[in-house]
Amino acid sequence: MERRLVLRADVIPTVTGSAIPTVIARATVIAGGRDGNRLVVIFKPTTRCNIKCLHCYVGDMRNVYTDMSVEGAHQILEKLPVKTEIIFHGGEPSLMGTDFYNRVTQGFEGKFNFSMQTNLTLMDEQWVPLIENTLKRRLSTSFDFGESLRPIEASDWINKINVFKRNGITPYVVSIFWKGNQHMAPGEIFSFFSNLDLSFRLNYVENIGYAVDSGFPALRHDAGRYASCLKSLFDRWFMSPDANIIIDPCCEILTFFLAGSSVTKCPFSSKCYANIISVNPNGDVFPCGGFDSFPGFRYGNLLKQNYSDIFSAPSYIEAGCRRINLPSQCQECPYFHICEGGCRLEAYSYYGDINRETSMCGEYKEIFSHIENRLGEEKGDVSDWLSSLTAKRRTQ
Amino acid sequence: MSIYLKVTNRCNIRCPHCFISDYSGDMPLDVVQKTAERFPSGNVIFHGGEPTLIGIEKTREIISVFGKRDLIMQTNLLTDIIPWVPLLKEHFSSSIGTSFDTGRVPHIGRWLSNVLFLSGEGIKVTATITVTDEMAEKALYKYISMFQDHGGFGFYIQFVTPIKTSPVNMETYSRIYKNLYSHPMNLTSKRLCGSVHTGCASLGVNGGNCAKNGVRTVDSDGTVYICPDFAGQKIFPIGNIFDNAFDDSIENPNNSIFYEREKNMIIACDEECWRLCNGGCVSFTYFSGKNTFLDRDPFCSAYKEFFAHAS
Repeated sequence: MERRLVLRADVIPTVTGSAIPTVIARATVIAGGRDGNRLVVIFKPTTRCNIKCLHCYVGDMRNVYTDMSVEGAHQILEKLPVKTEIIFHGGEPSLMGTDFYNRVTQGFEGKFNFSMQTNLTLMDEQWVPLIENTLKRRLSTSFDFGESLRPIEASDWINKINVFKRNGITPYVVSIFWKGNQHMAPGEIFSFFSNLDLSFRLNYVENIGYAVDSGFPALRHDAGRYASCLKSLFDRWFMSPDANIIIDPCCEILTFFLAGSSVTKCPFSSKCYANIISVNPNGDVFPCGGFDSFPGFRYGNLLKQNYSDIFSAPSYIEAGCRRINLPSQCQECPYFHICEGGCRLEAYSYYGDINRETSMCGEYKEIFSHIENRLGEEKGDVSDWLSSLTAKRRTQ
Repeated sequence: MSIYLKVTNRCNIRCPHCFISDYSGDMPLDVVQKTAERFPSGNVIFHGGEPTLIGIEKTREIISVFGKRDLIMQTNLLTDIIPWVPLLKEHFSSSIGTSFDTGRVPHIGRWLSNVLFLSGEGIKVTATITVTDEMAEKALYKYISMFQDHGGFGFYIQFVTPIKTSPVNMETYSRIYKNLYSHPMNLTSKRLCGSVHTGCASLGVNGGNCAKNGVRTVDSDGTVYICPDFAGQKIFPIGNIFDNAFDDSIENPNNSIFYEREKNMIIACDEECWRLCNGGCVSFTYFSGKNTFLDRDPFCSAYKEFFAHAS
């Protein structure tokens, strides 16, 4: 099988072998790192959930809060800067019903971009107008191929997917690679999502929430299996003339190598502290959805404080210093500009120290090196192909 | 030519090393108008004190006097900056200058949030970070890193002028620049090196040119100085906007000292370095206890060390 697209000579992407992308990356950093400075808010109107997934990072915190009121939601939204990306999250956000979201978003349509992360199990045709008109089709869901961490039947989930696809809504999928499905052939995974025309992100289990109760070592994939799977997925995706989906984090890594732009998405950016927050039903602000279990990381409360106040929280400043405080092997690593130490939540949950590198470090290096070398073998332009795919993602 | 217009000397904070001795006085409109006449060209830097304290309406009045000139706003970003966004977009090329130093550490949250808000609005924020001896090297990296994380566009490093505080130790100075240049995080390099040639907000150099024809500062009462350091201390005025002309000719007696300085420096300095530093910073030289411009910058050897390292 041959790629239809060839790589341009002027964007030869090697970090370790050539000075060119290093210069690009350096220029990007100097000129002010982030690609778009939009704040992303993981907005949790509820932490209740209708199912219990073995690895859920909310864990027992789901029982701590009462649901957010419409008035409370408005009070919080009014404090956020324009153009913020609001992701309705949970728990399971659909438990709040369509009326809640219609009322919450009223008057804020032009100010924010709204989207929703849901398990889809409670959703049906009546959600389509909200997702179409207010969320602008930005819907994402979770599903694990093969043996699942979630009590969701594949056929039921696919039926739900089809409900939305019939209405022109193609959800983005977050999928977990774990001990239960690590044996599956990457080709099967690729075919599963590709046949459904669903872009997806391959994540792994972290040592938080119910994963701790379920026995983290029993859930976490065997060392090296994630890298092996992702490398193979990348090859299939990259070499497939008909690939019309995005596989993350492959796509983000590829974008880095091609454009030199810093990766701003999980799990690679240490800068996430500056553009991602999570807001709980009671207004408490945490660095991201997974930090809820660690009260020491609380930034503040948006029902009681202004948004600008959270920037002074000690845990906020500490997060900002992580890139400086990471071990020297990180700072000197040729891939530091891509991963920046990886996810600090993952590092904290694994080592108890945000200033450590991610426990996935070795596997990531393998993946970075593989993609870098793969691109080095290409001889033509992949930029157009990537641009068309990422443009597609923006509507998802 | 760059004209620092001290639209106010008022300020909402008191940084320990600040060059201002008297925090009072807004610039009346007749001073603004006369400044525009005396300096018919050149960019105008809204400076202070904290320039946003005069408010948006007063700022609009001043803008109307200068017409289509390039305008720059230099602010501590510790005021409510969001209402200024339309003005910044319309008249300040969607950019703004800010500053940060150890004196503002207690306000870092407010500062970062404003950087984030502005960059989210498409405003390019450039920071001048002033290094004092209290600012450990790691802290400097931290502030730069966090500034960039919040969408900061670019930054300059400058070392504190020893007006109210002691000068930074020369070894510290040299080491920080060299380390910044070579830091594995690539925090700086091109921007720093580029700015070596262009202005004082980098290495504190290029002083010969800034004094001769590069920079003038008009205080709120119309007194003219070379740079804001002198205006802040009200030392060495070179005239008044109502009484004097401020051309850069050698015939103008107000300029003679700068030509004399240049002559001295050419004789005293190595030619290769001279092209980079022009004799160094006038203010550094003056406030380092020499009370004269007619000498080389006291950090001469540190500059040389950095130039050699960078090259």
